[in-house]
Amino acid sequence: MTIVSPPGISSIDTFSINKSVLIPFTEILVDFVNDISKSILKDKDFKEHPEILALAFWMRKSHIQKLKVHFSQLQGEKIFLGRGVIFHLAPSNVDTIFVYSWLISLLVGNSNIVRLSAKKNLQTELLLDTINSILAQKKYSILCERVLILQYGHEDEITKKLSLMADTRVIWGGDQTIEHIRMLPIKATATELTFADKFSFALIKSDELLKEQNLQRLIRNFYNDAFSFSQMACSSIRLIAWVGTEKDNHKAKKIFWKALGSYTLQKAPTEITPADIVNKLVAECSIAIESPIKIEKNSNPYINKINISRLTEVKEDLHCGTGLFYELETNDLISIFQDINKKHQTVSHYGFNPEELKQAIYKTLPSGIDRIVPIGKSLEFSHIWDGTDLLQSFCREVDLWN
Amino acid sequence: MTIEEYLEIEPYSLTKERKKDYLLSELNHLTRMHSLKSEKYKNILSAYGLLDKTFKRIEDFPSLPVRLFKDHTLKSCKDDEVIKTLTSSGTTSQRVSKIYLDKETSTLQTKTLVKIIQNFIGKKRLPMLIIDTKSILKDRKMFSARGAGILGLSTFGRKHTYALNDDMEIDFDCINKFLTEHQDEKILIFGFTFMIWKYFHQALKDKNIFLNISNSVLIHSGGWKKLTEEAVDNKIFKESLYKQIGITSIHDFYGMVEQVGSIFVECEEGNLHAPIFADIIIRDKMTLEVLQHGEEGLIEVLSILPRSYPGHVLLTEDIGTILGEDDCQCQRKGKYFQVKGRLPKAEIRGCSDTHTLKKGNTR
Repeated sequence: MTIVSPPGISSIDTFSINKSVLIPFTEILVDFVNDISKSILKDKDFKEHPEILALAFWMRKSHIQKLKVHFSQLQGEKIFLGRGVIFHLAPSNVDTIFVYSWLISLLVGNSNIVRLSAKKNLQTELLLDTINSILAQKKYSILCERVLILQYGHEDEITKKLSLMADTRVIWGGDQTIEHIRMLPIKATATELTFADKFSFALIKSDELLKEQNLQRLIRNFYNDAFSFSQMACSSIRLIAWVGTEKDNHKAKKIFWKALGSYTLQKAPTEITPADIVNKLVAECSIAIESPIKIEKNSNPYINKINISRLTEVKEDLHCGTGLFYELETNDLISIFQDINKKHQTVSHYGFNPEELKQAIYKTLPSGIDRIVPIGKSLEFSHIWDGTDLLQSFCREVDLWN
Repeated sequence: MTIEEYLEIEPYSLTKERKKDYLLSELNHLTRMHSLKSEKYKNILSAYGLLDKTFKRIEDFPSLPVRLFKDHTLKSCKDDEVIKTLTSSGTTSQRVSKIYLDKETSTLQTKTLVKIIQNFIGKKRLPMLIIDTKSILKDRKMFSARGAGILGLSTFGRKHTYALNDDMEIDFDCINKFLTEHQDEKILIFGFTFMIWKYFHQALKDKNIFLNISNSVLIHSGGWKKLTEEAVDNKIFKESLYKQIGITSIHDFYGMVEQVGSIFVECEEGNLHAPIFADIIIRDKMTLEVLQHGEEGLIEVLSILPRSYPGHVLLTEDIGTILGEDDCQCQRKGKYFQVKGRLPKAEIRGCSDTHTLKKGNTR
């Protein structure tokens, strides 16, 4: 186990975290977040890490100001206070999630413990260095007392100890991790937030695509949404549902795949390796064994396509990422919403009017779907995640009666 | 020609035209038969739109990734027809392949193995020294790849003697007795590449013991992964063994538990050879397109033996290069090639920070 922050601490037994909360969005908190943002945006080392740049933009003063306004609207005349100590268990592969989770909690005044996986990675190291250099500033000593960031493997004893210190435990997936961590108790007064494995898909209105003047922009946006994080983030697009007449759907598909095909070949993402090509083959065969699918062969190593007729035929857990796409066609938007389940997270849409989608939601009252965003925004973080407003979940309300 | 008749032909005697015709008809037959007998295989073919197709070229047959046998029970015979289940070796944490053999497949495997090995050691049964411990054979129902390999090769020997005790140490009393007894005879030595290197060669070297077993043939298999880590290649392997036991006739073979019997044995020139019962194709690691001889890529192996499981066309995760066909200096016909190692594993990815690995190796 390594203690990353605060600097200079070698054992969790010699460090006692300051448990008293601060006033939500108090100046020092906002300044701290903004300072990290500035430091990242200045640093050339981060130029090649779009996820970290996105994080820095999210942390900018103007955006934090928006969050503050949102928070005060939520709060109104009510009393909102941080819950105390929040223990965040970050996912090992989406490197920036821990920062979002921690900072949202920090902004509403909590003290935070963050567990990062022991797996070292350059981006995370750089990010932690930046955070530490700002934490070390004298003016932030009040925050230094309220943070503990650790890196360790699957060591239940440590997790157990930290869990018992927490007023809220946050587990950022996946399902097996949640199941496992839940066997370790939290305090009777504590709450828990969990983010399970999810599956996300795109909805494309075919006739709109056929009219599109700037197809290249759509392709670029789609590529980012689908291929970042090797298509293994919960929000990564893994399925396309084509909505339109049979004729339009066929035409739109042809144009789309041709353009995406050349774009992927031009990008040639190096993170897709021969082992992934074999993995995709194994996934295709495994899915074929269980579902009546049609697999479209093509020589582009970055794109594998599996045709299905209904959303219910998707085998979420057999998906291996790195450019494996389910596809289905329909003339009826409602039929897709009827098949939505709890595992479905983000719908990235193209060519739809948000009102249409809202109507579809009210008409079908699906058990899943947490976000509906335009294609290109799938991976953008929001304080509202998997149906929960984190700003609110990290607070407790003192119910004051007149 | 029936398969029995075909099996009578010398395993390295057919040129490509003659071999191709029979392989094509037999592989087409197998593809159809497996699709009728295995629902899962049929579903896969159907998904790729290849059900009930007749294939005109060897490279057109749909190949299953070998790993599929770890994730799924793939079987083309009834449960009560299974006489043996082979498993791939693997550490306890790994999932293993399970290969179900019926009488017919098992017999075919034995027969072809005989034909192939006899080509290298002659028809006479030889006194056999096995570089392993006898206890590897204890569980007869669930054969590990090591156990199956030893049993398979045992048919070529007599007076089987195991060189190692249960602690993986050389049993010198036993070996000395064996060598004295068979002083002027040709001896067959068999073992797994790594076992031979670590527990036989290294142990002899450490003890500074030199044996004279020059009049013998050594056959080994199991892969070079661990040896490559120690920077030992085939040349060093051979030279070191020559130094320690004076042996010159050493043959590696490439084969897998998913296609027991149709193995690819290394000739005197150091090349692995496809017998007439099997073939090999090299595919591009990214596009899976067929590559020319001389180009390095993923190895696909074809065998006409598997009847009780749909394993006649398999895409491995091994990397290799075909060097030529029908024109190896050793005079054997068929494609000859070299294996370079295994594909590096894919990264574990995803939102999840998993405790154990679920299906596949991602996530």
